Amino acid sequence: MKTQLLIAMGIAFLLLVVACTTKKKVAYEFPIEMKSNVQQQYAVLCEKGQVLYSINCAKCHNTGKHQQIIPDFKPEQLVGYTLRITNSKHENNLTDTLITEEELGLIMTFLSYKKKNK
Amino acid sequence: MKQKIALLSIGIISILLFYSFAKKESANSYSQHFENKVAAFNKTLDQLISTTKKSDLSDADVNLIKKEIHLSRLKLKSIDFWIRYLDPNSYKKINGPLPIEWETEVFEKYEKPYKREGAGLTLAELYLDESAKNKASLLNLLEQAQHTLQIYKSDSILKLVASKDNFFLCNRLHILNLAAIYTTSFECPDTSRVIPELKSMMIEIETIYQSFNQTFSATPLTNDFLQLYKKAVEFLEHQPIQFSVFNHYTFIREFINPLFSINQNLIRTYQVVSKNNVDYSLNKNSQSIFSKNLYNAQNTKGIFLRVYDEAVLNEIKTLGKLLFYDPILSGNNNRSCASCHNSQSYYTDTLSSTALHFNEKQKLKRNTPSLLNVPYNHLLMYDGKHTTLQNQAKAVISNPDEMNCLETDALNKVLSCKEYKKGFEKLLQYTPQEKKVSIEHIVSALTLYYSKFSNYYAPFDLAMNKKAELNTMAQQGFNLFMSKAQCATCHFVPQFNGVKPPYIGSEFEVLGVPFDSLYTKLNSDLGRNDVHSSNETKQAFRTGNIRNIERTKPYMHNGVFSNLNQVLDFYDGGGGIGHGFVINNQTLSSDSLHLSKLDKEKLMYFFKSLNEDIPLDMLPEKLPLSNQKKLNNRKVGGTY
Repeated sequence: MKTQLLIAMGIAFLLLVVACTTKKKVAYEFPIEMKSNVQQQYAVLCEKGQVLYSINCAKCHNTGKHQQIIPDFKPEQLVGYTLRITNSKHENNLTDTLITEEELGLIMTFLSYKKKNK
Repeated sequence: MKQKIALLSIGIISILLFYSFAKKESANSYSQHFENKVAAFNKTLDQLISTTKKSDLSDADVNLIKKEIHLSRLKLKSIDFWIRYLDPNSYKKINGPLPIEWETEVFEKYEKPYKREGAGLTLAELYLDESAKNKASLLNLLEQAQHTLQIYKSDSILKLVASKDNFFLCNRLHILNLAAIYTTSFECPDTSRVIPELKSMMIEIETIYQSFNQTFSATPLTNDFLQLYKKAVEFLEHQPIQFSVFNHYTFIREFINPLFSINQNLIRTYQVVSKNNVDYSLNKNSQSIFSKNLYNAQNTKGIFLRVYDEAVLNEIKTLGKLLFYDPILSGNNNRSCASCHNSQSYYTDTLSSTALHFNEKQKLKRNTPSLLNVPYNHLLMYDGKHTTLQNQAKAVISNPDEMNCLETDALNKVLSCKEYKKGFEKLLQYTPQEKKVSIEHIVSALTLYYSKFSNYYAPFDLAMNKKAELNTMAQQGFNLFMSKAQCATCHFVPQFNGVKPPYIGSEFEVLGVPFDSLYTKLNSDLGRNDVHSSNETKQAFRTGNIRNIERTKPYMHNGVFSNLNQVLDFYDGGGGIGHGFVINNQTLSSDSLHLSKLDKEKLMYFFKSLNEDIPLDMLPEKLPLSNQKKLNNRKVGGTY
């Protein structure tokens, strides 16, 4: 009985681990010239940027059946203040009282290095 | 028959043509108005330059040139409405108040000072008063202005002019300048000209409004605005021409601020969109120039930016308050924020000119500024070293002279206390981009806590918002502040700090503050020069806020003056130069202001009316317990 319980708990734990590790990760494409330690630092910034993107941008910009596809933005679309005033929606939703310039920078870092959708 | 048809068709075609042209003309009348005014200004500059070329700078010639400068200034004022907003940098070549200025505008928290050499009418007029002058320099100032004016004839500018959005945004800046700049001598050295120029400008502006309404009839300036503007002009016409007795108080309270409110409504109703950096920090939803939400300079919430729930915000403030009084943030666990920023003394230290050094022996270089209204600055500290409140807080914690604690140590010590650890970990859900509690969470709680004391108003604000009356002495004090006492040329409406419309940067001034109140020598602090080195920034300091000034002694960056009379005497006597020091870059006029005893008394009444109604905050009873025993002897607020 005890072993069965242990096995069941083991399976449950495994499932948990699997569930956690399969949480969809977005891969990044860093330039080859970028040193690996710098890449690691950028990956940390990109992770933060991704979270901020999902809070602030995904709702309008993501596509696909489950709104899960993050579009590929062109570099000219990712320009600081221009981004804030690029359309009337952004004028209201992307003010510096809603998202700081630092956070905007993280989002742009994420979108710049995010692996392209093809 | 054929002929008749031909005639008829020619007739129809010409009618159609006529209509299409007529329509085009009316669509262009507003833009045409702009072009005509630019051309008229250009013509007076032609005349002015030719007169200057012919002159030998004799006294008679100087007077003639001055007269023509005055004429040109009036033409300039007729296009000020547009050119100041559409290309602010070029504008300063036409009407810059200083020969060399380091611009300190903050944009997206980015601030790189850039040198701007001014030119134009204001400087030319000042130059004429100098004893050693030459024609070439004078011509240079004028020709630069004319050269720059040609920029405003470009297609790109004309395109911007012909936009309804830009009209309302130009108008907003115009109204803000009516409150803060045009009514002071900020860019009009001859004070007898301030009010006449203002009158002439406002009459010109009415013609701009008319042509706008004709051309953009779908989004007009409403009648209530036009009527009120007309009343403002009528008010001006009945006012004395002398700058020092002009009723600034009534002008701003009864006309300018209500006009601002109407224009803000129109900006929202017509869904006006700005593409201009100038509007970067102005708030579309603000209804009054004297509301603290007029512009946004600092993010007081820091990393907790997206928290709106009042209950959660209060949790953060509670943690912030504990931290504010907790010496755990200092290297020796004896010093807290409250050690220098005393809540009983309006968040400054009224007892010493400069606070004690961390070593408890020496004194710090600079006076402790009050934390009240700090969020309304783009640049922080006397030298403008920081652009965010959070970085400023971190810098004080780690500064070896002040709190001397490494950021990592501060974080570890804070998290060794269960109450802090639990509190901040609970808040992590609001910052999903951060996996664990960081120093950013700590300083954000601090800034959110102390910034709440900046949301209160003074009797002066209530009066300007027509919620109360102000005593006559204070009203007259305000009028002096704006005029004869020349305070408002640096302490701008409405915060009375160094942030002027469009409220995107902070200004610095060289005053020549003495080392001691007996003026035995000049203070030696290089100020802004520490951050950004140049001849002009030597001993320059960021202009402070004068709200609550009556309660926040001592004064100046080194706390040299212990009462306001000393401060007024310093300015009245022409600053450092006026008191006998040799300073080659003083930005304050070295002439006496000729303030009478009664003038000073009135100013004091005005200062009193800037005392904000700030609730007294009680000290926390105890501090959170740490799991490191040696940390549990901490005293609330620290020991020194």
